[in-house]
Amino acid sequence: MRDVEVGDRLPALVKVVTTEQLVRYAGAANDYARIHYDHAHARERGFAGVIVHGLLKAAFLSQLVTQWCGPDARVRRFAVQYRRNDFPAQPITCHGRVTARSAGSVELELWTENPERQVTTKGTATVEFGPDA
Amino acid sequence: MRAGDTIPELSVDAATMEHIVRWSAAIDDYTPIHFDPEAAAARGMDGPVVNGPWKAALLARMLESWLDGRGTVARLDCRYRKPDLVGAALTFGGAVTAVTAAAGHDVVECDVWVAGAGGRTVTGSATVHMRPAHDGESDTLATERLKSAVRLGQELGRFTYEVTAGDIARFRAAVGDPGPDTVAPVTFYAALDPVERRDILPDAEVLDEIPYARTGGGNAFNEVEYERPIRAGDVITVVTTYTDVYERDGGSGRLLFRVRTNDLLDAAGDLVARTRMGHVMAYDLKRRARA
Repeated sequence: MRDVEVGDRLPALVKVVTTEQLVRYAGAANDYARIHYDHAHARERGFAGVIVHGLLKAAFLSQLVTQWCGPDARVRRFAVQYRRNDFPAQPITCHGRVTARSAGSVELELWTENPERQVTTKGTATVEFGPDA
Repeated sequence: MRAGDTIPELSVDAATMEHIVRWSAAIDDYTPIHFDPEAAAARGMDGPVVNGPWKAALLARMLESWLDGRGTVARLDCRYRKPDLVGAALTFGGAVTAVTAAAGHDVVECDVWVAGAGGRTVTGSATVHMRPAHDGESDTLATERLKSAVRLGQELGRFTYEVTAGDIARFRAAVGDPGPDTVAPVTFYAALDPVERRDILPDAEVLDEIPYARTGGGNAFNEVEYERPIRAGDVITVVTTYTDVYERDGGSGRLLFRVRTNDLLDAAGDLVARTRMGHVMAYDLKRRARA
């Protein structure tokens, strides 16, 4: 924590989603919206194929944060907005940057990018550090 | 639609033995008076008689033809007054007796009947839910009816879920986030959302009635604020409240937003986390929805 400065970048995290992972996530999150595993349904809706759950991308961004801050810190607040769809097999790169810090906490800006470097998810988080961090 | 309107009749030239045998097979009812002349005669009938529920099924078909996708049959009660002989010509009819407005649809009460050679052989009543023909301009996507359906601003319901180490391990494996199965990762709240879990779908019926072509949509945003992490062994009660329903124009059409909060309480009733879940759907107001 004492080393953290505004403007610091978090080490990027790259995820490549498979359709199997989408099915596993549907089961783990109890989210059975067909757009995430039913190819025929996705094409009917005008997509090239199934799309990645927004909340799975949120999970990737939260992993980016927790891997960076370590187990002694605590994610107090975490918010994401979905801007574009992501698709299986197309790498999703998770980025983060420190935007503010106070005595016990830091504010982060978070985002995912698709292979065209377009921002597909935007987010913010507040991480609280213990007194010894 | 108003009281006194008649429902277009459905006529069957002859309720044939094949109709009746197929029906008997479909519902697994092989009472012989429906196909065995001797069994019918032993019961004092002039011949095999048509199953009452088959006539009720045709009344339902009459109602559905009349609705033509504009609504659904919510109730159908029939009293079988007299038998009809197999081979009889039957007419199915009805009339509207009352129309009242409800959240998301009109409730239409009807009298229904079946007429055979000897007059009305079935009389009954039905309730259908019919969506209104028009929406106001300021409410193109049924926003006011949605607000009522989701009980905007009021607690919609409480749902209790036990969080096991297995649930956490399965979630971690699914998202590829290794870590202890004793502490849930940040977005685990997604697995405890009663709407995503389909434990409650307060507005599905109103959404189904939106007459425009849907062009996109999905989750718009998710937010969480934790008082403490969710841990294995927690028994979490989720209190769901819709806080916002609104529409506006966007790049991909007319956008309908619905926002709900979930308060996640532990077994002691203490707040563990509060989430906000925002969902958006886009519609093309120039195109009708496919039936």
